[in-house]
Amino acid sequence: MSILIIKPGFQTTVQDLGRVGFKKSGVPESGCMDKFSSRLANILCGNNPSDAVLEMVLHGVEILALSPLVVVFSGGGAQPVINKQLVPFNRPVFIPANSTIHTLPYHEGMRLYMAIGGGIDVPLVMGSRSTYLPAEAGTPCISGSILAIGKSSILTENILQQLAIDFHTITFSLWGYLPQHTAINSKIIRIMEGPEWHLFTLNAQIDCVLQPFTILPQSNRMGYRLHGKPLELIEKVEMISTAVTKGTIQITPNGSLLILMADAQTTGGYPRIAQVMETDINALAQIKPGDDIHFQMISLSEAMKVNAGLENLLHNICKAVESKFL
Amino acid sequence: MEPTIIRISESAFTLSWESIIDPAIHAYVVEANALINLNPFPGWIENVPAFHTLTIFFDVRIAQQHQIDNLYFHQYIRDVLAKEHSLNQTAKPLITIPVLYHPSVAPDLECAANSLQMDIDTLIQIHSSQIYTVFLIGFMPGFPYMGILPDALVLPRKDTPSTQVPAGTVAIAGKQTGIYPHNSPGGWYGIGQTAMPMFSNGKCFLHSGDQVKFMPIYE
Repeated sequence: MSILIIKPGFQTTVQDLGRVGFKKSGVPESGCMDKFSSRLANILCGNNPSDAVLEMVLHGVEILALSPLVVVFSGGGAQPVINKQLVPFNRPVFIPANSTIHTLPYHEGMRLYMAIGGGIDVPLVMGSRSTYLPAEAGTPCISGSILAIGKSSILTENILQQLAIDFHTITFSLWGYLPQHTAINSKIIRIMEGPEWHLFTLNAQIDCVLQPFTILPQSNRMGYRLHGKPLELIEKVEMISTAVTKGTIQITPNGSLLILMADAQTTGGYPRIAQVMETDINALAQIKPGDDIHFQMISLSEAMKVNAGLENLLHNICKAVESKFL
Repeated sequence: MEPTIIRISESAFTLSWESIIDPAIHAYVVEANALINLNPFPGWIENVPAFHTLTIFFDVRIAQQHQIDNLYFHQYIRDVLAKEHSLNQTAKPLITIPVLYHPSVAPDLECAANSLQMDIDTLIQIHSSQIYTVFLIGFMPGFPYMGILPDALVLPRKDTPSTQVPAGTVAIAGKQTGIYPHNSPGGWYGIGQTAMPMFSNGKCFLHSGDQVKFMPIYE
């Protein structure tokens, strides 16, 4: 089973939940920027949540299914269309061989995830299928790329059995996950105090949570650059590089904010004013350049409760799918 | 010396010693790294060493199952750093990296020598006679930050980074020396070229704590 990329759109990459354990070699985690949407998409087509999916930035993608497939679209940023039919988000769809998938502009979100029953089967590099070219990891998704799809799980087979009327007709399932799209509409990003929070002026600390910040166009998988009120240190510091992680908000010498994302360098020397909580990194992944965000301070324990809540939600969805189809 | 312990995210905390770049302080990082690797806690994933810090990454789900909280971490760090380990007294072997120091492969050799007001041979002699500590791997896969560079060779980073530094370039900036594993933009001065791969097949050649010496080779 396989798919052919006819047009890759703005940026299409194969991602899974990331490369774990190689930061000490200078290799970032990479992986899906919105791990809620990607895992949801996988679960709904009977995959392991950690299976590789396509992450597509905005619209303009064209893909040919070379075999019959069960797929799920999740996230936002684009509206999938198959053989001229609009495809609903967050529900499994059976598509016959030789179907063409297009993605059109969509009003909400930035990244669309396409999970395919069986998972995208490209070589593992350092334990992951996530794309990170500086470490020679990843299979290109350019015009003409053919991506293999892995063997379907029993769950996927059963979903397909129940779904497909025959092998020629596109069928949308009647069940799925609401809301319509998981591109979280909230532009409020919850943060915790960073290790250098106390080195910033009181005004900077206040502005951090009161002022809006705009996502700049040069934002990408390495980091989001923000435009807004400059945040000042009490006095200039020469920081020595230390390990950083995705979600870390650094302040550059001119006072601007830089949020490290999935492909960011593993070490850095800019002062860290705050840390985006894990769940809201998913939300950030769906915010477009030009949009404004506001930060809201929460504690570590509150963050952990919210994160655990999200894990429970995914776990329950998984159990619901299993109980229906296993 | 006891480190401070900071929780930097839901899934990582950082041990921090005195904030200076000094092999004597880095020795604490290397020691702690080795001890934690030998005695991991449930959910531990990896440690990322830097100049004066060691950052410990772990799986939050597994940690929560074992009710690991900040108090647990403090006790764990106190206990693990108190352990003796047999590698303590073993001297680290010296890794020799062959380098071709020649303007034809090193784009900045001549201008670095000019800025340092010495001839090229002197620059080569000073750079290759020092034993360097690998402080950390960062910036890109396999890139080693090594030091301390002798004072005579200290140059500030380039104002305008080069757009393309070739893979294998041995470079200097500030009190550090490093090796670019891949073609990349870079602000350090390229003074030589090595054929030894710094990162291949997912494996890093150098690690934090390694002792390195450059050996000039001639065509």
